[in-house]
Amino acid sequence: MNILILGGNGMLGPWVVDALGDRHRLRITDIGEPPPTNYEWLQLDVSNLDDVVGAAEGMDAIINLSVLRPHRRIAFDVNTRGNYNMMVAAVTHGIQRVINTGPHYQMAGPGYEDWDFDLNPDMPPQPGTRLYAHTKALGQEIDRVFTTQHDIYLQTLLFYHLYDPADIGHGPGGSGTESLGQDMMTPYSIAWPDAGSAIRCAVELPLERLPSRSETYMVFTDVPHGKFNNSKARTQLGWQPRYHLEQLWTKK
Amino acid sequence: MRLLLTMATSDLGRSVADLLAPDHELVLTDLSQHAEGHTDVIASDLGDDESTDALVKGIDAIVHVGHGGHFASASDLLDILTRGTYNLLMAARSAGVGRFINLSTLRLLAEYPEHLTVTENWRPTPGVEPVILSSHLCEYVCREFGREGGIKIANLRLGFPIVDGDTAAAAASGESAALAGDDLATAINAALTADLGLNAQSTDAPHPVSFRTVHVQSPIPNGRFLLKGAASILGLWGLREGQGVA
Repeated sequence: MNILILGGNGMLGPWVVDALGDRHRLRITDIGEPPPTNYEWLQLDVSNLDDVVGAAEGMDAIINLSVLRPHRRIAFDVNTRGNYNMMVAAVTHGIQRVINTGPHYQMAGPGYEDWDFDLNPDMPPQPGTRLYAHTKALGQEIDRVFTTQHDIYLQTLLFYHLYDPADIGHGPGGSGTESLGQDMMTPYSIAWPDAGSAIRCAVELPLERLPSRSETYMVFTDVPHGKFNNSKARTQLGWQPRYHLEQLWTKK
Repeated sequence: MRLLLTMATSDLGRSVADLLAPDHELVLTDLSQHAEGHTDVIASDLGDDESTDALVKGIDAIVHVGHGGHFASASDLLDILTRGTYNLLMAARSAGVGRFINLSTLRLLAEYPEHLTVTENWRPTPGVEPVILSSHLCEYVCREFGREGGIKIANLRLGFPIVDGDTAAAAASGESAALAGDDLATAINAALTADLGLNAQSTDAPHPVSFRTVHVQSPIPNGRFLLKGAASILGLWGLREGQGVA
């Protein structure tokens, strides 16, 4: 499969490339300078419609990993309008498979998380007004509306805290080390390699097995607290976490 | 009331300004490119900066043109109606502006066949046309602010076309979703003061409801959209037989 990756040089990008690189032909793009890579690479700003459309030519799928958190203008440019540009590119080139990513609270914002349990990916989004969540939620809504009008299949994978399993509990820089044995730093966690494999599962899932043209998944490892529900990622994507990260919620 | 009106040089903005001027003190604003040459209009691109804070200072309520403003590219429409609306609401909430009226459109529900009893409880079915999609997203922004509270937001979905005159003019237009200017003024004025919690589904206690959507077209015979919210929330036009209000 020919796959365009937007925002491929961010934190998640390398793990997705690792998961897909020997199985598909990748065209990796990012706004930053090109890293050393053996893959086709384009420097690209997702807020530029023409560039996104141009980059999507000849592709079978688009994976959107682009994200911008703190800056008001650029967050809207990337997280909201970037999705519009991606969907226009998909329509322009007849690309049926689009995979979007974001934080879990673009859907399950504080209005859910502070109140309820068994939060699942088929609830109506309630992102609230926090900039990152809000702009990403707008982007997802744009994607969803496009699927109502065009033959495009959208899979949105929601992550939050991601860990390198080799780092956990191992000195400075080890993600989440401060909270080990006390409480989870977050109840929504996953290892980077498992995030990559989830996206591979989404990429390789036959479109005819998708119940609708817009499906969302909460992707995190199995955790005991029951706040969120990851069963859809398991059953529909056929994904399983390799790393269970139990150090995050086990007393020392 | 001291009102801030956005997109004030657009066709709809000018009409709304004319309609509200007799009863309110208006502060007009528009994007820089459109404000040029209008000495009574404050140029603002609704950015994330002090100028937007200054714009909302001392304002009692904001009337925001969330549909039918200026013609623009898809990119610009999406930008101003998402980011611009977000910045405006952020500034307004921080400044303690009490109320925000978003002027949206009933075109968001135009895909439903006319024989259906479409009310505010029906899900919008926007297409991907930028002028519609951007209005849908503008509502999305407003809804999330409303969900959090801190500012009361009335989301008025306006009928189409908007015609000069009174209800009779709307009826004479032959358009089933028409909205007369006089009725638009009546609805905005009502939305500026209405208890948005009125007849909300779930509360007997003092209610913190801070977001309501209201469909606003002229109350003409066989009007396309039911005016349940206009009647029950804004107290307009009575509970008319044939308007689908129980």
